[in-house]
Amino acid sequence: MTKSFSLKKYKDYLYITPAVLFVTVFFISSILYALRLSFFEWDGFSEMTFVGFDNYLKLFKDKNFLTSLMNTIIWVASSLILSLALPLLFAILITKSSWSGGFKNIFYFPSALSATVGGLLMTSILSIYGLPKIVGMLGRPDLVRDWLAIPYVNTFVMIVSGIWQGLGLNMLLFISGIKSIDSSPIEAAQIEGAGTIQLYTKVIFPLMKNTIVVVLLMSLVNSFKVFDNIWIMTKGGPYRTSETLALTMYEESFIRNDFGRGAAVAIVLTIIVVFVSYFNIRNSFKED
Amino acid sequence: MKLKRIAALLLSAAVAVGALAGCGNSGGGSTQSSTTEDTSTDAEDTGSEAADAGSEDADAGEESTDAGEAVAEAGTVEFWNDKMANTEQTHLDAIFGEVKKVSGYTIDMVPYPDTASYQTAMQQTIRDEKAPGLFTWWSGPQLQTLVENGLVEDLTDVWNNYIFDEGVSQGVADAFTFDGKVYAAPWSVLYNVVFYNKTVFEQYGIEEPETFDDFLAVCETLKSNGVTPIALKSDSWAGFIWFQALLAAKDVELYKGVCDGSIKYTDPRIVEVMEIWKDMLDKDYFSLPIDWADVRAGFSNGEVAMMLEPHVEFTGMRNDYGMVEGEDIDSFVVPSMDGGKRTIFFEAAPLCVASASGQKEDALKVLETWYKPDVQNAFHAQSGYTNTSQVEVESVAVQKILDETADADNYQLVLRFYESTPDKLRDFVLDELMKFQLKNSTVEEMLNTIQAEADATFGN
Repeated sequence: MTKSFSLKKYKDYLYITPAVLFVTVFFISSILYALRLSFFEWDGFSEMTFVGFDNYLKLFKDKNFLTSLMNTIIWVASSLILSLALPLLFAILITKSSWSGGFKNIFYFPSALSATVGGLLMTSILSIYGLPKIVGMLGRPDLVRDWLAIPYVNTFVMIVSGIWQGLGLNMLLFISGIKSIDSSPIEAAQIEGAGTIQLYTKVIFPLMKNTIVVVLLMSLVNSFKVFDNIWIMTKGGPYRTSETLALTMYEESFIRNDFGRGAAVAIVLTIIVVFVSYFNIRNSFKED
Repeated sequence: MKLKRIAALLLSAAVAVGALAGCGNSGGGSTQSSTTEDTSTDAEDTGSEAADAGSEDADAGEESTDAGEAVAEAGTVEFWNDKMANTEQTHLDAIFGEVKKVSGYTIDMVPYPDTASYQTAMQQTIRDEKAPGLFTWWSGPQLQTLVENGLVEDLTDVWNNYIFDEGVSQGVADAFTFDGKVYAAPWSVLYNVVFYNKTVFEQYGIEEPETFDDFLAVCETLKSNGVTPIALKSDSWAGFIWFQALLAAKDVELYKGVCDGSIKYTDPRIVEVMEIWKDMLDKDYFSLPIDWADVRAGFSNGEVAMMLEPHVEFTGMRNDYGMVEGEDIDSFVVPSMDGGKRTIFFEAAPLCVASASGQKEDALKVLETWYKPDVQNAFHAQSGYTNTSQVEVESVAVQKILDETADADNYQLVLRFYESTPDKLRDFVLDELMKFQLKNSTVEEMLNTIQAEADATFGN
């Protein structure tokens, strides 16, 4: 009796042990190693030299890092606004449409592509023999240039490209959120004379809160770590003007072989993501 | 129901086998990442196929050799690189089959498709006995790092006894020399020349320029006929291409001076050259930096007339756009501004021997025959590389470039900027040059900014 009680007590822990071990070995140890590395100067081959907080101090004096930080903020802000607002709007319209299945497929299609393929596709479309050429033929020859090679403008071009790819998934999540809402509060509100806007802002959106929080968090984290699209389309250029923190981390570590500096960028990025996610989750579920 | 159980059982067995296989691969004390292991495994398969094919070729070669001497099977040497992941197996067989014929060694190639994973794999293994006998690397500061840490073998004796004899130039050896010792052999030597679209030149009655003024006149003629004279590519590293070409056209010592810090970027002579470049940019002799695919497309359809690229681009333009060298496309070297020697910039990728490798002695033996004509002819046929003066080149256009590299009276070979200046400064300069080419900074702003960084680098 005691034996079976004891087994039952530990059985739950045994089930999650493989997952815990996996996360500990492959994720937590990597984070700790990166943290340690960020206090050293190391090119991958020479002896590691302890430099204390030098890598961090230099980062905040480096204009490339500050540009990268600003680009990351732009990506996050744009993603939060556009990746939430557009899919939500589309979800509302599509649920009311008689051809919702077709629309769902059309909008979801770009999400089925990998970020790399999507990036390559957009690179071709935006090259001077693609969309700019057409715009030129329509009377704007000054726009016949490689849009991805225009500093700072290219960041916005890539954000639009990222939204094109991410819109479908968020939209599907919102559609499923809308469909899972209990219809009685909506009917009650309609009987009480609520208008369309009131219906959505006072009834439907609050009832979709959990879905909105999930989409918000996914978009937030994805925009912080955006890499593939930028790497394929501009490699962070020209002259490092379209880098985000994830790209700067890779560039410093693997292109410039400054692993300490790259690790410092990684730690800064991790702290920002954890901080933002934590407060977001906490505030979102406070009332619950 | 039964079917479902059987399917579930089979799937479970497959997952278990996969997991065990994965564990098995990571054994043996290797510290490689899983990506590396996968690549290695694939490469081993590829390598053994190449070995088999090579073995067949070797047999055939032994039968047909005039000397009638069969080279005995000598062993296997691993060759790691990040440059041949996309090379077709038949091409690999042709190259390494020749290596086996002349050396007796089977080359077990381990190709990495990604530079970052390749560098990581090398970092993890280079101090170990299991390090590859042969591997490719990058010249300049990156090779210097390996040398300073005692990780690569001194190949001076191999050069003196074998490589120079096969017609590899002293300039290439200099690119791999540190403190008087040569630490690598050339995997590839590429000469940078100005390619021009022959059809476009003929259409407007343009000849290859003899002087720098001729060169400017060519640009003007093309521009006035609605053709973009020269295309710039937008790759982050590509900013130096015309910077070095124009500096060396003025005076190659100016170029060497800024590379080693003995001449300031703000020197009046440098300013003068940059003003010439600025003038050319303002006159739209250059395109704005554009995607490399667009450069090639524009060049092939005649919207762009010239591009400055490594000589193997002949092969690329032939394969991808059907442009035949000598007929549709040809090349020249940027003329000197004072009528002196023209400068041909070259880049050389090093082939190194890992000092800790258990295959070190075998790898050194392989290098003794690596530059034999048969091997290098096979390299040239498959890749366009021309590493020695004895390579049999069918293309008249390529031969013209090789003749120019050997014509010391009229041409000089100089290592390109990318490998000639400290890497941190180099990266900074590249960004500033790209900014300048995009017309987002003035000559004065650019040179002052670069000099401030150069002062920090060279301790001025």
